[in-house]
Amino acid sequence: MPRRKVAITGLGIVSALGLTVEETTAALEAGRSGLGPLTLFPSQRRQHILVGQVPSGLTVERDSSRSMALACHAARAAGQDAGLADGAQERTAVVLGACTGGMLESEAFLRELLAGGSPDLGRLRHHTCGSATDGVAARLGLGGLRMTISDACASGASALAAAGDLIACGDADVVFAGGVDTLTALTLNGFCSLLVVADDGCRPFDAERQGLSLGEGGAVLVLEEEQHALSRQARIHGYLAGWGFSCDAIHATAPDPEGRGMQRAMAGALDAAGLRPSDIDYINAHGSGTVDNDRAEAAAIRRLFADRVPAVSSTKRFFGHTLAAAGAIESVVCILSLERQRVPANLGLREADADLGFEPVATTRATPCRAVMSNSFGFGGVNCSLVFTQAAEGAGR
Amino acid sequence: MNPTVPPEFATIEGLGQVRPTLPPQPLAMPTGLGGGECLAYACPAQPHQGCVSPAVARRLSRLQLLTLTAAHRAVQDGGGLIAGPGAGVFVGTGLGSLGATVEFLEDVIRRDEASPMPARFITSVHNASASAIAIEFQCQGENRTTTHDSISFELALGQALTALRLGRIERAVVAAGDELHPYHVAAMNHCQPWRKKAEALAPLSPTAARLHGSLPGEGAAAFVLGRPGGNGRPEASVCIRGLGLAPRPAADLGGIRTEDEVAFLQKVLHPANATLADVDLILLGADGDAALDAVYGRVIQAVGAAAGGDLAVGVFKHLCGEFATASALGLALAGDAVRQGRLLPDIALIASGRADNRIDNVLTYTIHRNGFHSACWVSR
Repeated sequence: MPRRKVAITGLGIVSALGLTVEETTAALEAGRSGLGPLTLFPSQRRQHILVGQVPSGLTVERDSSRSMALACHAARAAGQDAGLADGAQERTAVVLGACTGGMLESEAFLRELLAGGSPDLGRLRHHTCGSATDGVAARLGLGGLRMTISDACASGASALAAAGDLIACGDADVVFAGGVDTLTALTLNGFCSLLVVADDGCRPFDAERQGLSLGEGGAVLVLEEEQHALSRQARIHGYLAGWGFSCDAIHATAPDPEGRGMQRAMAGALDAAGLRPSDIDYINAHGSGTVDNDRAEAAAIRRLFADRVPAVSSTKRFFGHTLAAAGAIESVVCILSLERQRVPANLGLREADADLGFEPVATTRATPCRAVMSNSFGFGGVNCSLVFTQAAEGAGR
Repeated sequence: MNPTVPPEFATIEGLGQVRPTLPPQPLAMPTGLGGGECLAYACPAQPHQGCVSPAVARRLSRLQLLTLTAAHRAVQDGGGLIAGPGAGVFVGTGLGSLGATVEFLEDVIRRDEASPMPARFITSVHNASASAIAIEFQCQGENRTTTHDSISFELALGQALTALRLGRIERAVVAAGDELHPYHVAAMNHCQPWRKKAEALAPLSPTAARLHGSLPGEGAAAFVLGRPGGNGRPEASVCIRGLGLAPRPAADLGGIRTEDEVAFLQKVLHPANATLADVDLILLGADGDAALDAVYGRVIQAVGAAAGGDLAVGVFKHLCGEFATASALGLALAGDAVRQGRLLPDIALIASGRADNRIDNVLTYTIHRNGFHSACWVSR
């Protein structure tokens, strides 16, 4: 089956680094972390941890949720960047990754209920993960398929891959795709219960890494069939050239220590893109900062890339681990790398783990980038890798 | 490859279901939310007995048990051929493991974040069911979970069909399910009331009272799907030959135009070179709510006219109540009916169709309240 090329014509991002692509770029360039104190909801853990909380300035409309607000903010920016007007896109699809949906509002409801109050059940209206997807479609007037994917921390990447499938198979011409998640008591306490949250902020791939830092945010990319984009003379940022999946199938949370599933996902993405390992110039690693994940991912990278490991960095200390948004946010980082020919620092690195077999990028630097890879791995052993290529010489699927 | 089967569709190699115990029973509602009872369709408390080992079961949430049990039955039904990098898992769920999520959060709030329970957090994750299925059967291929209200199952099925079509996997376990929880029942009651009268569902029944609202339920279904001509079960004779999922022009039930619905169903049949005249049975997602029943009634009249023959019409939600992924149970019944070549006694017939009652082709059709409609074409 001939597959259609998937161009990226719009970018929108909101995170601890700011509300725009420009603010994100400036922070990546300056090596400025977005990690800071948690103020979004009451928690005993505030004094002990750092999180990537979206700065003030985001408007949460009435009859909405924070998750929906993040998604709509990113989607609107992506649509504007792509030159697509609101409300005139009856066939445009929306595919988002989400793990927590309106959980932040549901938690407030539950606190009030357990305190003996009579909270308004209407506050649960936006509880589901699909609520943000529906909100984006409704507010931007996008009338096509709506899909929400919840593949744990791989959700954002998985959503982009699903959107890529829709375009590559001819089921859609334009898809708003990405991921969104907010900080919640559920995830904060959940990851703390697993003893994988670092006290002083995550330090991916560092010899003394202690764990991850949670974050929140949203990123939406406008994916568009290449000829459709060219016919309306849209600016093409780059191409989503390939995507690959796998499942470790060994444990509910821990990765395969050898990273065999991760390697299969990366190899699958390369194969789908028609590229070889040596074609990749930069890997935006999942690099959550937990001992187990970083070790497994490094093993997978070593085996696949052998003696030609490209530039590697994890950007989790910039944003925090934004769960379902991570794959989408890091896809934006990848596109920026292709456009700016610069790769971001592996922020927080003091001394690289000697077992990695490669040296992560110490500071944001100039690097020729024609093809880059983004890794996203999640609970359940779910692995998804994406390959992006340059606009000028994008390799087709 | 079998030339009669369009490559984008799949063979059903195995089917599995977990259905509620009948009749529906009263479900106690939280006192903080008004208390009282609501009639509900609940599955057995231990649905996994005989399928999932106790050692595995004690680590799983109710939804995981429902979906894993359905998957076990499907894999067993399909001959047990599923494992390795070519085996994918696709799960649809409207709300995930809601019970585990509530349990974890209530504990966090009540004990002011002291020593939260990691096991409950792990099982609260939406893709916990897909993970459990992958681990149980060693499915190392693509593993995806879709969660989008009442179209979650259709989206999961669509993802599986795409992965099969593109050759990323050889075989897939597609599962869907949702668990009954009082919080969800209370929340839904706020925007879409359950029926006040404690009367079991009889969708589209000419003799039952026309009541406002449906009844909540739970359940799970699973399918082992293969690629036509693949190395799975060559004897598998039932195929999914068409899947349609589309937003309706109008989200309100009153705005549904029968001619649009007929056109939609014809579009689903078209890739398989079938028409409405080929449909032996149309299985509806009607849930007993009088307003929704009325819409189905109008559409079925129009479909019958377009089919130009004796169309059997059936419903199934009297078996399971209403929940986000109930349509998966409908597809399982459809697949089973085609496999057996006859009308199943579980399916309640609204119209009896052809005199010989031979069933080779079933079209499932659901009008979703979230502004979508879906249909699936199952045939030999």
